[in-house]
Amino acid sequence: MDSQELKNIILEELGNIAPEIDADEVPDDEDMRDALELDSMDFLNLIIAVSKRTKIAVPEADYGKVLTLNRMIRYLQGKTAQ
Amino acid sequence: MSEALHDLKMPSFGADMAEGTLVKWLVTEGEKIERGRVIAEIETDKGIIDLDIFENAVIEKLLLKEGERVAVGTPIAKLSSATTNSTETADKDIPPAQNIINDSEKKEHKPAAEIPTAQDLVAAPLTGENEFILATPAARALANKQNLSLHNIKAQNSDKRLITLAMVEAFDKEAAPAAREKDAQTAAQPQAPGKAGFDKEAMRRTISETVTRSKQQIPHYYLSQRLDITALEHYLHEYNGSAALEQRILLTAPLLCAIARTLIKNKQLNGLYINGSFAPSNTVHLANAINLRGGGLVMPVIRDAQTLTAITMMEELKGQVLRARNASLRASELNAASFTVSNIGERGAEQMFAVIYPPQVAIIALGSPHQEAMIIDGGIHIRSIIEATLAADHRVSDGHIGARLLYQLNQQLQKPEELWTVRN
Repeated sequence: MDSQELKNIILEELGNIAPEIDADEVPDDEDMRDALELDSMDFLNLIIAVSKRTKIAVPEADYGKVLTLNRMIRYLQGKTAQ
Repeated sequence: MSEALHDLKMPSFGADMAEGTLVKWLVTEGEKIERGRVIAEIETDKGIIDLDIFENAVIEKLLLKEGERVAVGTPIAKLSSATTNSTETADKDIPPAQNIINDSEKKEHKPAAEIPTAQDLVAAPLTGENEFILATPAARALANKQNLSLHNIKAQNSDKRLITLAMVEAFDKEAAPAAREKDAQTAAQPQAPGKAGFDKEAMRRTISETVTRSKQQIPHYYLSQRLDITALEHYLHEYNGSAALEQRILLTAPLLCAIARTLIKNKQLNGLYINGSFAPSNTVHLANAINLRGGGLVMPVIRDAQTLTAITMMEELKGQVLRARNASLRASELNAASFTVSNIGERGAEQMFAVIYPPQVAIIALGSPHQEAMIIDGGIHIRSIIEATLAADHRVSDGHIGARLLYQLNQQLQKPEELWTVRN
């Protein structure tokens, strides 16, 4: 999966969790939880949804590595490459 | 004696009243009335109010039908006054009944006053859906009396707000078994997707009125306690490390379990204060304040929360947050909370002092988890801390009781494994 595909998946799942968020509003390098007012439940749901779509499990210890859109994309790419 | 013909207008019973519904005429056309006579019942957000007249007059014409709703200032009747030159005569040029709002216009014309008052919530605090079914106090009271669900009735009514007339109609329908079956079907139908959403403006007003009332009437006392969640965090990380992604548990779940289990032992903080006396609850219906992005909050109830484990609590929370955000909470989730927890979340302030939600008598606010250096047995240790603040009603309990709750809560959190099992 290339980064555009991953980005689309993340934005799509984000839209399911928080329908009021406009995909264009999601910043690339800002902490999504702060920028989009996601609480821990939203964030967990995002990780569950993205993991399902990509078949890549994100362990709890790695949550800190997927806080921004770009970092989440890079993290998932890194895991696919492995 | 000149017979001055003049209009009687829909009166205003308060600055926030924009409209009134003529529920019932208590006079007929041609009737002679004396000063002080109650001539109609007007329904507003504040309930049904008797309209009395301060003149001797003859009712020439009734301009409204029963059940019609009009804006404040709209003529509702024509009177001819026996007295000389009433100041009212100046108003007679106003075209009659021009402001009557018909059904199709009602949807667009939605005055800010069309919201439940704090009294609505207190009189029937959690009997409605939390999508804020707008109903007047009289309608709510009637619904309670007749065991009707406001939600069902609303589904059958195009009007945005329920008034007593709608309730009476609903009750009449309920009396027929066939109609009852139909109602059940209507109730079972899910809400149209995309239509979901809270009326944020109405919600803001309701919150505003509720907290104002709370602060005016409830003598709050506050206690703060640092909860050491280090052991809980360790246990939770271990659990989540081995659990499948979808079985992962958020810190909130075991925290709510611990609060519910501690509350069941502290009856003076768990229950309702109604009509000057406190009724303790024998179970913990825990309202969990959920923040809505873009403002406002909803407080769905986790029923019998003391019987849940961290695992079942997490399942409840997941469903509830989803339904709260989609404004599709169930009626049972909005029923009779006995206590509220307000959780500021992982990225908020360290400490919060919450306002009690009447008629409840206490609320716990949980600050954001953070690390602190604590002195334990003469040594400095880095511990994970949540600052818990209890606000409680001093009419019902004293600081000693509140302090005991917080102490016991902290003790419970030191044994996190207990929260993963059902307690007998």
